[in-house]
Amino acid sequence: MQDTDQPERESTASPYAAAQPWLSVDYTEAAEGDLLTNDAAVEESAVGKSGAPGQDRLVIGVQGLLRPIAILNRLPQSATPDREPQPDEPRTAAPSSPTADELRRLRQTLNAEPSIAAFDLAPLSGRLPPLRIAWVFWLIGLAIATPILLSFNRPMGRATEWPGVAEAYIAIDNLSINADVLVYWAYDPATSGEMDLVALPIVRHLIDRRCRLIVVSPLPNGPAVARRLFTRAVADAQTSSVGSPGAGQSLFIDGGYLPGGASVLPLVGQDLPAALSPEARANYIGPPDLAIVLGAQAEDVQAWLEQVQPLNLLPVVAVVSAGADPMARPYLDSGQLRGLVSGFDGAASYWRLSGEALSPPEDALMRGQLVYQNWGAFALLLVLLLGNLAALSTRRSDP
Amino acid sequence: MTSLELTTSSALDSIGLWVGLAISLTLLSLIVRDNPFARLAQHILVGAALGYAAILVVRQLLAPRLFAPLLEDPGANPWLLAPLVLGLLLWAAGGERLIRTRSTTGADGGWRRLLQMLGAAPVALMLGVTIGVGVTGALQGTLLPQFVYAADFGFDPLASGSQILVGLLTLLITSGALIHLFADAEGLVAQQPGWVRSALAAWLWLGKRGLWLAAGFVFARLMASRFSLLIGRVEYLMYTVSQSTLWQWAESIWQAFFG
Repeated sequence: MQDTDQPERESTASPYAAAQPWLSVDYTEAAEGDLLTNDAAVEESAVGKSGAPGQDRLVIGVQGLLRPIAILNRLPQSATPDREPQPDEPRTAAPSSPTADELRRLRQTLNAEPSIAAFDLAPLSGRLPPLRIAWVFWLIGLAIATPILLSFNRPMGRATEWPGVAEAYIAIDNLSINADVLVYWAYDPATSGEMDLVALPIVRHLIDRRCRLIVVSPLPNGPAVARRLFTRAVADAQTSSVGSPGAGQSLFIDGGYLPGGASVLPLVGQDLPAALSPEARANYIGPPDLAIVLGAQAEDVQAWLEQVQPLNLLPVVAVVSAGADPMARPYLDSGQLRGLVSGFDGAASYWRLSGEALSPPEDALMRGQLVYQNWGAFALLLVLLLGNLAALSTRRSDP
Repeated sequence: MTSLELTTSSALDSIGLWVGLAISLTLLSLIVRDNPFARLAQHILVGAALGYAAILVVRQLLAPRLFAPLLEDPGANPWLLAPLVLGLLLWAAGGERLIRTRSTTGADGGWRRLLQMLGAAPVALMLGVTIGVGVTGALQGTLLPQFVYAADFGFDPLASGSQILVGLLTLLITSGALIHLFADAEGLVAQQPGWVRSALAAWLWLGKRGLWLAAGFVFARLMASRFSLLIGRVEYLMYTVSQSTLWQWAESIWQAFFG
C-alpha cells in the first residue's frame, strides 16, 4: 500500500523504499495530520548503542503491520474538531465504526503471513538435489520384502543385549507360582506387528510360572489384542518341547478397558478393584506382586510411573517398542523400572535367557526378524551414504 | 460345530483375508501417491475403530456402571446422576453446535448461549482433572526421581574417577543442550567478555553435538521399530496371498507358460 499524500523520499538502502517508505531506516515522517508519525516516532526513539536511529532496533519491519489499524482509525482532515474546514474543501461525512465484514478482513490481514510487495526474488545459486523420498521408501521396502519373498536366512548375526533385559527376566522368574501380575496392555493392532513379537516371550514366561494376568488397557481394542496373544502363547507353550501342562485360559483375567487416559490411572493405583470390570472384580484375590507395562509408546510407561507406581509401589517391568526405548531408559537407570525389554533384539535376548526351545513358528519368527532387520539396516546405511555423497558433490559444485 | 457353521466360519475367514489384503495394499499405495482408494481405506479403518470403541464403551462401561445401577435403584447411587447430567450436557451442547446452521445476522439465541455455557462445565472439569493429574504425575514420577538420581550419581563422594567424569559430562552436555534449545546462543556468546566467549562457545558446541547424538540414537531405534512393523506386514501379505486362491492361479499360469 502506498500513501499518496506522503512526500516522496529518496531510497537509501532498501530497494522497495519507494513503494513502502516507512520501511526505510531513516524514515522520519512528520507530515501534518498523518497518524503514521506516531509509529515512526516510536521507532526512532529506539536508538541503539551506535546512536543511529533505528540501527539497533530489536524489531524491524513492523510498521507496515500497523497500517491497517492506522488507516481504519484515520479521520479525514475535515472531521478533526480543532480544524475548521476550508471553503473550497469538500465536506466528507464522519466515518462510521467498522462493520463486521471490515473487522473480519482486518483480522484476516493481521493473521496472514506478511507479504513483501514489489520484491524480485533472486534465483537460487546452485542446484539443489531433489529429495526423492519415494525412492528411499521403495529401496528400503525392496530390501526387506525381497529377502522375505526369497526366504533368505543370512545374515543373521546376534541380537544386541540391551541393559534391563536380564533384570526383567529375573523379576519375573522370582515370582512365586500362581502369583498375580497386573498387566497394563497399551498397544493395539496398529502396533501389534512389533509388540506381539516383544510381548510373546514375557507372556510365555508368565504362563510357565502359572501367573494370573490381570489385564487392563487404556485402548478399546487392547483387551482383545491381549486375549489373542495369550491364546497364541498358550498354544505355542503346549506344542513346544518344554511346555507348561495345565496352562489355560483361566490364567487370563480381562480387567477391561480403562477410559479417560492418564486421568483414570490414579484410581488403578489407589483402588484397583474399583477400576476393574465386574467379572475381573469377582476374581480379584489380592494386590498383585508385579506390574508389567506393555506399551508401543514411551508415554504409556511414563504415565504408569507417574500416576500408579508412586501410589501402589509395585515393581514395574516395561516392555516397549524399539522406538520408545530411548525415552524409557532413564527410568531404568533411576531405578523406577525393575526391567526393560524393548524391540526385536530385546525379545531375542529374552528368549535366549529363558533357555526355552521355541516352537517352529516362534523360531521362524525370531530368525526372520534378525535377518530382515539386517537387510533393512543395510539399505538404510546405503541411503545415508548416498545422501551424504550427493550433499558433498552439490556443495563442491556451488561457486 | 455343524457343517453349516464350519462353512460359514471358513467363508468369513476367507472374506476377512481378502478384505485385509485389499486394505493393506491400498494403504501401502500411499507410498506412490495419495489416491481415492487409500483415502477410502483410511476412512474404513477409522470408522471401524470408532465403531468398535463406541460399542465397547456402551456395553462395558455405560450400561453396567451407569445405566443399570440408576435404572435398578436411583436412590442407592445418587452420585451417579452427576456424570449422567454432565454427559448429557456435553452431548447436547456438542450436538447443537454440529447441527445448527450459522446465521449471518444477529446473535445466538438466549437458550443457545445458555446451552453453550452449561456445556462448558463438563469440558472445564475434564480439562482441570487432566491438567491436575498431569502436573502432579510429572512432579512425583519424573521430575523429582530423575533429579534425585542425577544428584546422587553426580555427587557421590565415593564414586570412581570414571563415574565422576561421566557425571560431569552428563551435566555439561545436558545443560549445554538446554541452553542451545531455549536461549539465543549466538546472542548469548556475543555479549560475553572475550575470555568467557570461547568457553561458552565450547559448552554450546558440546550441547549441540549431544543433541545430534541423541537424535541419531532415537532415529536408529525408531527405524528398527518401523522395520519390525514392515516385516510383520509383508509376512502377513505373503501369508494372505498363499492362503487365497491368488497364489494357485499364479502358480498355474506360471506352469502353463514355463512348464
